[in-house]
Amino acid sequence: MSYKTCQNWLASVWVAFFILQVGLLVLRSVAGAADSDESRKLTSEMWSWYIPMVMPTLSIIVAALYAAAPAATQEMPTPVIRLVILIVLSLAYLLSLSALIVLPPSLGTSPKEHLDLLHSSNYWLGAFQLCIGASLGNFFPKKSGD
Amino acid sequence: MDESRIWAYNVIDDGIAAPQRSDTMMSTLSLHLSEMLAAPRRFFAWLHPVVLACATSALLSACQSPSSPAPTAAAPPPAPTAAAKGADEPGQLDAEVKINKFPVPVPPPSAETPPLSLKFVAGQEKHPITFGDVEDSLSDLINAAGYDWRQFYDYPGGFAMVTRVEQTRPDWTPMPSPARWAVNVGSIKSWSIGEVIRRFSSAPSGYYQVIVFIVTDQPVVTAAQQATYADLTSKLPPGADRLPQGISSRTASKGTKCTVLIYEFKKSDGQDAAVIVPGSLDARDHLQRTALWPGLAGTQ
Repeated sequence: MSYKTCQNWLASVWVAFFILQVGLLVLRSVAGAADSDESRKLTSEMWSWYIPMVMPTLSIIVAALYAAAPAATQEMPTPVIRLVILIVLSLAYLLSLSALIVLPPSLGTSPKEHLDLLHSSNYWLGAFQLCIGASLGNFFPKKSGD
Repeated sequence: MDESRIWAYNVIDDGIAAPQRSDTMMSTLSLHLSEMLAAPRRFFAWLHPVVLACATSALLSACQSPSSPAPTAAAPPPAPTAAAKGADEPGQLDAEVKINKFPVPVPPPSAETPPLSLKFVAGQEKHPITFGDVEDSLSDLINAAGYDWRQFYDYPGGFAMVTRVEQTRPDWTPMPSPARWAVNVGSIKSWSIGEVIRRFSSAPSGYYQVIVFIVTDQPVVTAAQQATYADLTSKLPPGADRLPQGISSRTASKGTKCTVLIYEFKKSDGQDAAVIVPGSLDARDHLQRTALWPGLAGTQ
């Protein structure tokens, strides 16, 4: 599999999840959840929590996508296993973010408890983000810089 | 540092003591020790007046304080009062028990029945009705309708009975147990992506109601200020599980009526919602949905 294909796959996963998650947050901000102070606070806290979780990694991916890599690099073969590992890691991370945002209201969690959950998840998500960032950062700029 | 002291240190360090120099050495050691001891003494020297001043002021304040608790012998037991005397006789102490009062004027309800006659009270043809009879009949009615918990309050000219807050469907029909008594909206019952997104995008709301029965011979006056869910649940003073003898033994006068107040709420978890005023249903519809109306109207 060529390097460019790997890059496109990863970018597709990240951009698709980003659009989906931002869409849900916009829906919550605009359509509802404005009937109590706790809900309003939770919505704004969700935005503040979500953006730093995704933007650094997404910025690397998008920047690398538009960076003009040499043609030789683009066609360079990349082991499939590497792509699989990166995709699995990315999906696990992005699904964790989605679950933390979307699922608690369905489980009967109050806005305050949901907020506490988001804050406490920062610890393990931070470590997770470090792994993802390191793996993707190692893949994208290194290859595109070659 | 002078020479003799350096010498003394050397002696100590080397572990050698020259006999001809023992006097000099001892004097040097004692000088050294006295200097070591002098430092803390100098420190404590200026502390003495401070400690002395503190102790004096504490002593003075203790002497001047009129409320200083002097050790006294245990107070003798109070003389037995009428109530305490009556405690030995069954039912007498009960007459002294006071229960909390329901807020007067009452919080504005979502719906309110007109004053209902006490037709629902059983056995009223045999003897004059007491509030205890009304309490029993009301308890039977709400037990039959599935309410397992109620609280009694004092109310001018009678009493008030408050049912447990119950969760209803959007049409104000009580939910089946145990969801009926769940104070939170809770988790999704039937999972679907649509329902998950709906719950996420809008704060999940539940429908709740509290029913208050007021049995009194006086008009039930409504307050101007709107009440909230907390006002009728957590902020309401604790009631009693039954009427005290002092109220239940009282004969209900001819003008005693029962007014039923229904308080509707639509709230999400963790939110304190205001009572919906006016309600979406009239009181009779509410009571029909909770299976209380036939009994209250005496048509059962």
